Amino acid sequence: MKEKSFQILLSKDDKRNDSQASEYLDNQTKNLGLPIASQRKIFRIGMELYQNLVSHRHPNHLGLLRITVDSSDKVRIVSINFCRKEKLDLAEKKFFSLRDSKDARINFMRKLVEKTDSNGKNQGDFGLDFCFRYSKEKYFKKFTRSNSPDIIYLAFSFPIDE
Amino acid sequence: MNRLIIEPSFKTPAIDFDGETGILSIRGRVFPENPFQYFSPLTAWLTDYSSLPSKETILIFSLSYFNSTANEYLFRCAKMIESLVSQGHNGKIVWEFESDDDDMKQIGEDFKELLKIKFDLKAIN
Repeated sequence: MKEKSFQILLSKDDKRNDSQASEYLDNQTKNLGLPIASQRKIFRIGMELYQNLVSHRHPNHLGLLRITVDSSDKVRIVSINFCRKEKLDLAEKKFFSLRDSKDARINFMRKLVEKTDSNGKNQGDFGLDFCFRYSKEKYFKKFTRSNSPDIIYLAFSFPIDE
Repeated sequence: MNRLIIEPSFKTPAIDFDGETGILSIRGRVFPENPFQYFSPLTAWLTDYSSLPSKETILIFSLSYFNSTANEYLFRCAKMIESLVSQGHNGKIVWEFESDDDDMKQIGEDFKELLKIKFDLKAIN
């Protein structure tokens, strides 16, 4: 298959709201012409990463969500975010905790109960847990951070027929 | 008990909570802009309904997508039905998923394991 891709670039000039971004992600994902299971996975992981970008992004800096299907029929979902340092520290801690946990499912269920029991008080980020749950952790390929500027790079990858 | 009907949108589900029949359904996609605001009338309706529920309550989830925040609110709705059952009322949850949607099936299995209530997982084509 010939490589196909699309992206959502967030910048201070971007006037797109959440609904427009999700419709764009949905339409562009459908246009890739992949099996329905891959389309679902791209939309689900993509939406969580997009919402992470929006909530963690430094308002004057860029954020990028890029979806690529390469010539070897692999999907790559990448997000790159210039974010506030404290957000980056939290995301890094969360990523390593998820990566090192033995069971994404148990972790996800425990977090769901904790958040529900806290009755709205526990507003911590649940997006990465959700991505791990959907992606069965094996698709989570990379977490990289850099300092000055503070950047998070996240990448998922999976075959189109899985 | 008033019937609560909310039309679906691209980001929000069709809601049909029928207090007479006890059949309450949430169908479609769930990722509202403001989940707290969106779910407030639903949880308020469920709280009212809990004071005088139907002979049997069936909460049907038939969802194609929901985000991590909505997940928490959906689980809260399910817990409210669990609470009704724990008080001696009849009730169950039906979790419908497309037969080839493993992710939605697995999240249904998570809900089932966490709730002490009759819970049917139902594949649909």
